[in-house]
Amino acid sequence: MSQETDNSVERLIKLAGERDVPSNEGTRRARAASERAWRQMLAQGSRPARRGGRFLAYGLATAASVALVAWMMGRNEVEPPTPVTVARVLTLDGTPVASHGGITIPLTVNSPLSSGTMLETTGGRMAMIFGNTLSLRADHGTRITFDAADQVTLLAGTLYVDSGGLNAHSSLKIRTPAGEVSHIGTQFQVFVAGDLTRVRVREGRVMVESRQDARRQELATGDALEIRGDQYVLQHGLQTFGVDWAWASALAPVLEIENRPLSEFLAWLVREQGLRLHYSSERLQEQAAEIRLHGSLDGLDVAAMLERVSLVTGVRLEVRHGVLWVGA
Amino acid sequence: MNQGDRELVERLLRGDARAFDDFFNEYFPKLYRFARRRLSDPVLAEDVAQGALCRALDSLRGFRGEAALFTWLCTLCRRELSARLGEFNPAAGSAHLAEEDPAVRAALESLMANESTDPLLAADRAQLRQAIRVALDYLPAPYGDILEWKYLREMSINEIAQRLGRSPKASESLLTRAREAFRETFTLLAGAPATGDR
Repeated sequence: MSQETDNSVERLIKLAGERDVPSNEGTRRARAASERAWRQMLAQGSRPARRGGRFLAYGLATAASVALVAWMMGRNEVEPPTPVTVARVLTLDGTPVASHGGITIPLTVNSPLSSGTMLETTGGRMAMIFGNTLSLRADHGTRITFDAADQVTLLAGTLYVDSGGLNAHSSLKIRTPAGEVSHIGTQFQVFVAGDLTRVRVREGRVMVESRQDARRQELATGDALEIRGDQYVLQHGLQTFGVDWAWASALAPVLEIENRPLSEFLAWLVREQGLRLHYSSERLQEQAAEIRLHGSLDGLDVAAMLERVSLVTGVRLEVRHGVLWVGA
Repeated sequence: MNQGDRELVERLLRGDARAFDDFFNEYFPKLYRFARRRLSDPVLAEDVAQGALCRALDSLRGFRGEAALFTWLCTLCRRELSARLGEFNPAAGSAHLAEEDPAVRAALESLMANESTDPLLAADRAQLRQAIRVALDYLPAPYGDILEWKYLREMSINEIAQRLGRSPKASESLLTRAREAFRETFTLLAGAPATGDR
């Protein structure tokens, strides 16, 4: 390399200046979290030895879960049914772990999940499909058991349910420490931590039936209910989009757009993101049903999808304040 | 997967504590900068980088080495960004940085030779600075650090050698290779025409 090139490298690096560095506090925090994740991953490599220790480490939370399962099984006092396939894996992110009767079941996309299976997402996330339409998504740190084709037990963490719309005839009951959550054509999420259960509805209606006093509470779009023991906190008018829902949207399988109309893509997007759809004119709405899309949106986030679709169709697409604006 | 990546991943999977240090020290600052280029909040960028590293370590056994380790980490970092950004942030979501280009990424991974140098003298300075910093981050360890020590902190070869625990001669040779790798990487990133040295 010539001296001149050497000089040009020096000039460029001086022009850029020092690269940003994370703060000492951020680095310390990240190192501790990363080391925990690393050690957890190593421990997973020797699962039989790990499980005992890890369950001990879970302490009270696990004890509560075991008590819940015991309560749920003991209540009916019947032999566990023969395992049947109740769901299958749609999307995997990280390395969730499934087990049945103490035996670890390898998970890949399309893996069947049978009744009696316990799922732990640990640091990963997972989307599953029940029947043909109902999408169930589990966030980090979630533990559930699959009880039957229409029932799961949430022991800890967060589940998101998309029933597939009001016309989809799918049902799923979620058992929690606080009681049972069932739905009527909807999208919602349920969070469990210790004795706290929180249900939040994005679209449609949900029924929560308290385990303690059999009280029934119906929730609608934008509602949230927190139950801790005999305490109820009900909220209305919450956002149906944004950071609280982002994890579930990120797990959604990407729509295959090849030869699909623009209108279908837009309908899918607003449903997945909890947005409302607004066309600037009826004419444009009609046109959206005629415009066909081609190619793939794999690997793109929402903003990039909108940018690409807007570019190829010439239709302006913009998200503002929970609304997807189509056209001027 | 290159040899260095493979060895590092194998050592991590064996539980080698020094491998964890190497991995963290090399990639946390790089992922932080990757996130920071897309976010205005430095604390959020730290969180995103941390989340990406945790995801990576959690799923390390599934890493097949189809892309370079840093490229894979950047993919996880992008997912983390998407997951964390509840409110749509056009600046973060749609910003198309040079390193997002698959062709550039492939080129960066292979560091293929390309006879062109010192490009974009007339380009926008902010963009140029960004391209330089991205190029430094994509260099194999410890090239980026050596170049900064030499040209920004004006450390002597002896001081660099001491810091690296190598001989001055070996360090001089490493610096030469670092300059060459930077030149090639930066040229690819900046997309400059092959005009030869200036």
